[in-house]
Amino acid sequence: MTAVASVSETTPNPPPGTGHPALGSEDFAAIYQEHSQAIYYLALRYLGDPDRAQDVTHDVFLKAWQHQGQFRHESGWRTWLYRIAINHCRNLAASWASRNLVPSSDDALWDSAPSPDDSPLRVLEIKELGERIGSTLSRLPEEYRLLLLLVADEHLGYIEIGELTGQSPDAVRGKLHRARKAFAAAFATTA
Amino acid sequence: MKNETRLNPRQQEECVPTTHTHERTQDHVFPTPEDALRADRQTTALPQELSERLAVSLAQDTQAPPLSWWKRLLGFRP
Repeated sequence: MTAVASVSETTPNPPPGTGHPALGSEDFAAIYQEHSQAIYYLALRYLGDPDRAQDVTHDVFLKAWQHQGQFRHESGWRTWLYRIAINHCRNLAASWASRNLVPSSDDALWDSAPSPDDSPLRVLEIKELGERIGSTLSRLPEEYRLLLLLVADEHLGYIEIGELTGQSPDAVRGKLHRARKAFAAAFATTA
Repeated sequence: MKNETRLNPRQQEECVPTTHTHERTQDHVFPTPEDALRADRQTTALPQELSERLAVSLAQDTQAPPLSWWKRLLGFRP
């Protein structure tokens, strides 16, 4: 394919001093194909707004392309993209919180809730799952919401999640238990 | 307690005629919140216009490759 060769040859050189070769457009597209759905889903369920989730996903990948020299290869692309996405989402959420009334984020409220966490979650129709999950997550503290969304990604371990959320893997485990309990309690109220 | 006499999903599949499946309720059971979130993620489609938007931005940012190239790479289908 002549077009492929000519485009690859025009791929920009790495920024000075970055130490890593810049990605070609095809490599970057492969990263987009592999990770864009996960990034979009995180933003969608974190923010609860499809339009803003799309904006976040667009901005994350544009920033990744523009700042790829900052990718240190110590973590995977997935983790780095999540880091950008989380920062973006938090900034958006903070700006909304300053303008709007936000749901309660009182952890004690959820810690004292009845504990249905040993019971499986049930939905009658799979099409209602998204709506109920969106409603459930909107009621949880931001920390629990993010933790559950990250743990649901099979590509991440507790170490990566700890790095992304600024805490130890043990702290992640401890909070995850409470987050599951809170989710189950809130989910039951959406039926 | 509306679920007391509900059949399990396998029993329901066996009992319900295929042509009427859409009219019956059938539990989808998720042992943990993560399982429910994974199922939700799998059924959440990426907006098709996202790849076009990103292609436009990338083409503007880099000057080359051109927009049509980025669109094809990112999977945009008009």
